[in-house]
Amino acid sequence: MEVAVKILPPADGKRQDFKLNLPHGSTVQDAVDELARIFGERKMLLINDKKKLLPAWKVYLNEQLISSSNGEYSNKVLNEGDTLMLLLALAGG
Amino acid sequence: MVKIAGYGGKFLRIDLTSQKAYIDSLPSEYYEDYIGGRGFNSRLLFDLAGPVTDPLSPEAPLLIAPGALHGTPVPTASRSTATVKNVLSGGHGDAHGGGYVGSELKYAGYDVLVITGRAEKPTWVLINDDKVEFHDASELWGKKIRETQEALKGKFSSKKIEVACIGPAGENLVKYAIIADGVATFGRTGVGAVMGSKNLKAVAVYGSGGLAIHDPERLLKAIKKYSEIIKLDAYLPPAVTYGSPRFMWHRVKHGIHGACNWRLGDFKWQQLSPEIFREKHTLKAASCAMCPVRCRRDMMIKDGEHQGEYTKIEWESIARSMTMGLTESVVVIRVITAFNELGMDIECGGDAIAFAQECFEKGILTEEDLDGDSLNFGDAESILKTIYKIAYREGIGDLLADGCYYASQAIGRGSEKCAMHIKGVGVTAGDPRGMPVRAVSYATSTRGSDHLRSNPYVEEIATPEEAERMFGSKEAADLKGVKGKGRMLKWSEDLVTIGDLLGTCKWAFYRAANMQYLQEKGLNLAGEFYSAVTGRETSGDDLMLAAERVYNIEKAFNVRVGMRRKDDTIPERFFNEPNRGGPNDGAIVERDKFNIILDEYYEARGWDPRTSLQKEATLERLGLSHIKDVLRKEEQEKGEKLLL
Ligand code: SF4
Repeated sequence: MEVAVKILPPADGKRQDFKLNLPHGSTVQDAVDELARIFGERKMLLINDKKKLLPAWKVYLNEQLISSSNGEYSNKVLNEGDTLMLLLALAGG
Repeated sequence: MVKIAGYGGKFLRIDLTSQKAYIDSLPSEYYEDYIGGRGFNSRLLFDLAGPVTDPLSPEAPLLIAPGALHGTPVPTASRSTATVKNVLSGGHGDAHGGGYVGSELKYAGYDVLVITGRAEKPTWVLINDDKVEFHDASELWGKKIRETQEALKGKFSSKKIEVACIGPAGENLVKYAIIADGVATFGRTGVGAVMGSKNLKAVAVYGSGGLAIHDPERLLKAIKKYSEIIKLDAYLPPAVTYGSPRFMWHRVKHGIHGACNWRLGDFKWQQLSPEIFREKHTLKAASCAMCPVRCRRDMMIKDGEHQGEYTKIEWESIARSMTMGLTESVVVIRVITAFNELGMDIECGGDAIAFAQECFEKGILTEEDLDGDSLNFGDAESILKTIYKIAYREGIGDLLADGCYYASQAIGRGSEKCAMHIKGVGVTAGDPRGMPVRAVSYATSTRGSDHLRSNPYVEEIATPEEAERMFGSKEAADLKGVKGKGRMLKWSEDLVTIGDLLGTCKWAFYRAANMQYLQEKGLNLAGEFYSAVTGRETSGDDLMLAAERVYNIEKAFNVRVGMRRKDDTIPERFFNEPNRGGPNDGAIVERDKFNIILDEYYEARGWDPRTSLQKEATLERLGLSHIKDVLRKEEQEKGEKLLL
């Protein structure tokens, strides 16, 4: 099944739209694992050494926030056509 | 002269009244205790200004100090600190800039420049190594920032000269006037007004010396490590692509725009998006000295009636434009250009105008008060007109030039509720409603309202386990949490202060997308860079201790002028009036949470939670017995406790 992913702002400063081909029954964490594979050596832009998304990324599934205020996200099962959005909107300046 | 690799070794004092310059050395222990930059300045301000010093009097000092690593090849080591007695709060004041005047000062041999006195007529000063010349600035007086810099640089076209100058706002003692330093500015706390009060239009510097590096190989290794980290730290690549306007996404995510004088969390931001600024307006990406990130942007209006107008833009100026109700990028560029060229801080200036706009909306100010004009949120032409009136202190501008706090005190009639300031300094950054530690961090900043004095955003990047290990509670990793937040705030204030001692960038060193990189850059690599450059073996923990020392000196300065716990607060609006619209709709700063965090913060600092006064044992632990002695002496004179 195909799942769209939007990473905003683009973690590598370049690419923000991805299409993932995942087996049926895949979860949010499976999508994160696949993104980490795509990022290769730069996977630390997304995940920590426990392979979980960094708490700084907020996770939205079909525009619904699925991460909590402490950065943990629910590992929902994905469906064909879902859109996952990762929003790294850190403050600072 | 103190001989430590990486430092200039000397201290230059200029007296504008007598037009004399004195070259000296700082006590050698200053280098160990305060490291450089803000550290040197905060200590010197404590010694040179007292509770009754008028910030705009001849005897009040203006201090400029490059960070300890400024002028060396350390990435982002581009920052200097300008320190004054805060024109808005009366307490400690400083501003930080990423220009080149600091490195030229170092190449000329100086770690600190102290300017006192008042010239009889407009003056500019040339510093070239040991030579200091005083020049008539009558021709420059009245000129805006770019014109002034071009005129002075034009005189020395064959040399690399750097210029720090004021614009008309500094000349007219606008309380939030800036000092411009080439590509950067010293923006906050009225440093430009202090310079103007001395009849000093500009300081031009070129140094012919170099800086020794103790261990170049070790330095190169550390630079390599830093370069590897910033490629993997998700905080930075978007900065490279979009510059600081990318912070818009943070405000949208949390609904914390603070639009229309800190009332609206939802706002028409779409025409101010990072993409709009990138695609429609970016002229070029620029950087501070030695920075691989290059987040600075020169933005231009590329078509229409105002085609060709350009200025440098950073995020906070876009944010404050929204505080004035602006929604459109061309207008925002015009407004920011006006602030930059006239030499005013848009943070405080934006808050002052938004204050007047709300007063007008509520009928507290009428067209008669506003020189026959209206002043509505989002009305570009009236905003632009008001900016000029402020810079030249004309009509209502004369009142607003003192900032929203003083203006509200003069107007009365309930206008006080519309004045969004902390310790007299206009509120900055994002709306803190719903995020209690951010509110506390604005309140505890030693220079008045400020989001760069700490890094409360640690709550967004720490895992619950990291929060528990470092701050004693998993709650510290939760935006809504309270426990551990005071300790987290204290830690992050000290951490960020290191950047101001070393002169490294707060974004590129003291913000990160995860705790591992934040500590790796901000502590370990910071210590490694300092050790490699100077040959003084210094760890991240040593730097934290120096930073804590400096924070305590600034606190002691504020205590001397009468600031206590009651002053470590935020505008009542944030406690009482819910945020309107967006994902943060209805949020307030809950007073009980605010107070719990503040109590924990004072405990962590070793200050008395009831009064916020420092404990004698804290100052002793930090080796600040001189500060303790001054406080004890002054408490006898005043008959009031200044220290526990
Ligand atoms: S990250 Fe931006 S503000 Fe920081 S040093 Fe680099 S260019 Fe300057």
